[in-house]
Amino acid sequence: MKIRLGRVARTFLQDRWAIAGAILLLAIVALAVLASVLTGNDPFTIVGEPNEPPFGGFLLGTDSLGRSIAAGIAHGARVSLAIGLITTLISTTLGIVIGGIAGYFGGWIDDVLMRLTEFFQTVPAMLFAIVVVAILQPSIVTEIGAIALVSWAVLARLARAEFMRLRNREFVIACVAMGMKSGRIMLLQILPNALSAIVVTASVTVATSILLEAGLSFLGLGDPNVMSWGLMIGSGRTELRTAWWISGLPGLALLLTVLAINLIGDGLNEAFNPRNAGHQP
Amino acid sequence: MTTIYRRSLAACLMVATAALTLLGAVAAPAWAQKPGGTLVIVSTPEPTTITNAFNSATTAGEVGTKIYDGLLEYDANLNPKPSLATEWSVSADGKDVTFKLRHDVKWHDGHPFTSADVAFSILEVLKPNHPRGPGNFGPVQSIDTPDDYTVVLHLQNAYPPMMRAFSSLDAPILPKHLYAGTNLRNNANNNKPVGTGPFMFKDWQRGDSIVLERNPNYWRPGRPYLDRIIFRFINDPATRAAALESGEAQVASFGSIATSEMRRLEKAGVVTIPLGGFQALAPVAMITFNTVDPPFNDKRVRQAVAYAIDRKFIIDKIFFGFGQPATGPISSVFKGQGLFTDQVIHFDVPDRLKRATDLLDAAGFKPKPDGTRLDVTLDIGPIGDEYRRMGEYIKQALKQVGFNVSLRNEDMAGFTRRTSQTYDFQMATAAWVGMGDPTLGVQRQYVTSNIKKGVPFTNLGRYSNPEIDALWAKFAIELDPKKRAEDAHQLQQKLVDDSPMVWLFELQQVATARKEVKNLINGAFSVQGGMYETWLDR
Amino acid sequence: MILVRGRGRQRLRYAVRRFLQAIPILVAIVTCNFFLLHLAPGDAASVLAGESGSASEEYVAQLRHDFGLEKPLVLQYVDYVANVATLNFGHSFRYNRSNLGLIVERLGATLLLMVTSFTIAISFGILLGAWAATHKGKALDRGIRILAVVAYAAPVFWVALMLIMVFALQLGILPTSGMHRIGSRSSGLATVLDVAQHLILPSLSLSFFYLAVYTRLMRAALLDQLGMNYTIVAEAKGASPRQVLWRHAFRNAIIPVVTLAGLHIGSMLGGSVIVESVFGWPGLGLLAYQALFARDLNLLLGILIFSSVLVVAMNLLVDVVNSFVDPRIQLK
Repeated sequence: MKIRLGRVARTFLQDRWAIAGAILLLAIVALAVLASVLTGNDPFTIVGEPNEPPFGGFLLGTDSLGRSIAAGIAHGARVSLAIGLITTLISTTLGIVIGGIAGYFGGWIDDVLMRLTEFFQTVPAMLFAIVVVAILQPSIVTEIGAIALVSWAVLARLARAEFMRLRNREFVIACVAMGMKSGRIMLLQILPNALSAIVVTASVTVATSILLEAGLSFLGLGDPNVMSWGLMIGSGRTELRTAWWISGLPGLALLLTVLAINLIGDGLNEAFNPRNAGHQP
Repeated sequence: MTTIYRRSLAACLMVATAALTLLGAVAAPAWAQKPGGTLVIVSTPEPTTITNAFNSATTAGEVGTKIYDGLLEYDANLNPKPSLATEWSVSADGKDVTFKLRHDVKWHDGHPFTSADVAFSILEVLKPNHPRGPGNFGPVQSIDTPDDYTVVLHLQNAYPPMMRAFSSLDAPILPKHLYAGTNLRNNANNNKPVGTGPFMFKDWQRGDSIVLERNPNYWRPGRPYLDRIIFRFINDPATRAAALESGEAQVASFGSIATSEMRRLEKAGVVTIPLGGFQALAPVAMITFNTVDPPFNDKRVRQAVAYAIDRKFIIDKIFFGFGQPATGPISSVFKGQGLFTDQVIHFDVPDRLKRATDLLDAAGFKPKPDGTRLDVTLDIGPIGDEYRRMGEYIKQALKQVGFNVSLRNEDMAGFTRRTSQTYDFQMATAAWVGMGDPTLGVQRQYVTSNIKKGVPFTNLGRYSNPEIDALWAKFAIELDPKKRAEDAHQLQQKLVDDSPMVWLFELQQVATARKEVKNLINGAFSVQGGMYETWLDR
Repeated sequence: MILVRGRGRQRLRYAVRRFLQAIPILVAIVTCNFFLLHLAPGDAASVLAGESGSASEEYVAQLRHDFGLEKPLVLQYVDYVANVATLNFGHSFRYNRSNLGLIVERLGATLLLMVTSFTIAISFGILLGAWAATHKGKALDRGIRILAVVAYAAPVFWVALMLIMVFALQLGILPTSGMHRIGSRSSGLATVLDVAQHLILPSLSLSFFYLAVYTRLMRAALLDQLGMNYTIVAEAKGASPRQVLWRHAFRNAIIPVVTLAGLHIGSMLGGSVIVESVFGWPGLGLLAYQALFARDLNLLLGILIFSSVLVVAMNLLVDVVNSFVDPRIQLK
């Protein structure tokens, strides 16, 4: 029943697409980690003339205030990755707790929690996130909160289905018979077995969170004190024809990051559930 | 009675007739105005109502000024010119103002226009309902209409600033026969307005466009030239610029496309950007300090900010030259009237950074081990991308002298609440319109009586200085232009010394027009005027 | 025969139950959104006054009074629910018109955009997915997969701006924004063509992501079907590979695509906020975005409720339709 990690790793490593994704993501992570070393501490520092094209005085040019695009992209990588990871962590935890309880206990608890989940699945995510951020005032915290709030429902449904499926397996029933506490059973017996499906979906959530954040910033709902790709694209979009690189290059970085994460997600999916390969959108 | 300005109706008509005869007699020369064509203006945001008697939002004014006329118009130096009124005079004590009206004006629905419309509009519509009504017409006590074409305003006290508030932008004249006795704000005509102006309302497709048609019976003979004006409301600035570039639109109001795009299109030879048409608004961008709470209750800290900011950088790099450094509260637009002076403290000095740190030292804000001196917050007014960028620049500029600035971006509702309701802010950037006279648009930010919780764009910094209050009060009712100028100069010197604001720059709020658009600017107005002189060289 | 009728009744009961389940959700949506929106700092009066750039005390007080903003929140809520129950969504502060009227006026544009986008995404998704699956491992398959994986990662606003740059500005063959040619007074066929022209770029932008999703899903589902026992059996029974593909596998593979598309209604409505904002498409998304910043809360509430109803209705429809199409679905 336990996932055979050796086989998973082997399958994953045989997938060229997934390897490409992993290498790409590693490069982006390295960029994020080394941002300060490579480009200085403050990406908001004005270093030169505005709207310098790439490969002139500055590697990737400057933005409309004369700030280095390279520094922005490097520091933005931190923010995008951090937002992606944190929101996914929050929404996955929320999803597992709510979906797990619903799936394990069933009955009215299930009914109530599923109505709650449906509520969040019914209101269009982007619209709801926009409303929440605008109302609570745009900042990195409200952005994370809003994105997590609109992302957890999918994971909850998945967790519920997995917990329901595993709830009636022999090893769980045996534990119940032995008098093990529900919490322990859920945490130690069911969760490890449900994790593979959840991890695959969570990896997709990282990507969609990053895109949601960029979308919010694009609409002017980002945190002005944090250099994120969304902020860069948003602030450069009026200059698209004068200086395409201001939003063009962060846009490319965004695309590559999401691409890398998706490739890894696909690889994981294939490795964990070879029968369903590709079913995860 | 002292006549300040007098224009003869007869002379006016003669000139017009002569011009017409001339045009009719000779074949139209190459430079002649060509009638016809549709002009598309991109603007933002879509107005809530297009009757600008109840709303002074920019776009409401842009649409309303085509449909309505005012009693007067103004030239580039803000001197009055005739419009619905042909003559006007002010009594020696300044308390009676008489207007003679045109006889040949009809509303778009065919009703004749009379003095009753004017009296009704000023007393019952504008004074109580226009956002600036109390400021513009507060002292008006009663209005007499001795005949159909004479209006006499009786004022509580002399109030010279009022003479700059009769344009169609500030005081559009509404038809009494459609409004009298109704609930003015909910009157159905507000959204399908009937005016006397050069263009008639045709259609409003919400979320998309407003269509105005030429008024064939307009009282200015041969005007307007255009057959149709269409306002297009597009939500995205890049798309608006694209519409102008592709020729789908011919004119973009200021703020609807990025200043960098304006320059790019100008350089590419697609558009021209004639300088002017913003004098009636006299906009100035500034930082408002919360002068009640620390640290900006200390004049030295406020001045340190003023010294730390490089105005040239903001104008050149962020607004791409559409502005000039501001020296004080009153815009240099008022130079023509003698009200402006630059004999004030200047903050653009070579050793400005040292002066800033000295002031901070003196105020007790010494550098901490990490090099910063104090933490402050800057609220960015939600009025466009350039202001957002300006906020980011100010953060960097203040960092040089030890301020650690965090920026806050809120939407209009959040921003106005924070700055005018809870006063939970330290510094806020915004652009303020000065209007035709400092009393009308500038005074409101500095007088104690205008500290009004819950009302946006009042004295937000809660600056209170009895000396300044007294000066503004004197300035408002002073009839002698020379003494008035002296008061204005004193106000500027004292206010700059106290620095309740940082006056960053005077915004040149110009419209961008494709090359085929001619005569966009008329006096002190461009897109916010009647545009009856504008024509298309197709 | 009896069996079938029994199933029919079961289906009806299932549909009714699903419908009843939706009601508490709608009530929750009305309530949560009402109080969430009223947490917002500032109100419609302050925005109107703020946009004016200047205002007097009397003006703001008058606005607040007109809008009923002085009443306690709970009273405003009771009023609101009572009104919504009778399909009265109140008056828009900003537009000074009935919210329902505004919403219905804009609904058409959004539906047109969404239906077109879904049509593009589903039809091309199925086509490309099937194409890739039938050429598994070949260059064509690899090309389509790369395309799908890139399209899947591309931010919608980015795609929109790029399309404007290329097709509207560089090539100049399509309009940049809006739904009608400015000042057009066309009618009949000319109007249809005009709108169609304006529709191309927004619907392409909006469909891009979903196209990628459906391509990937279709490819995987078809490969799944082709590997299943029954197709192998069918083939063994003498059906030609072509027959197997089209008669059996293809039809079954479409089911998950259509199901997923049904679930995507809400997500696409959200995406339309961005697309409509970039292209100035006069639909619900743009209206919602503007209503939010204008604190036209009743209008925004109306839109949220309306779009939620739309999502609930579509999900219901998909469920019920699927219960017909796919006999394996349990009508619990």
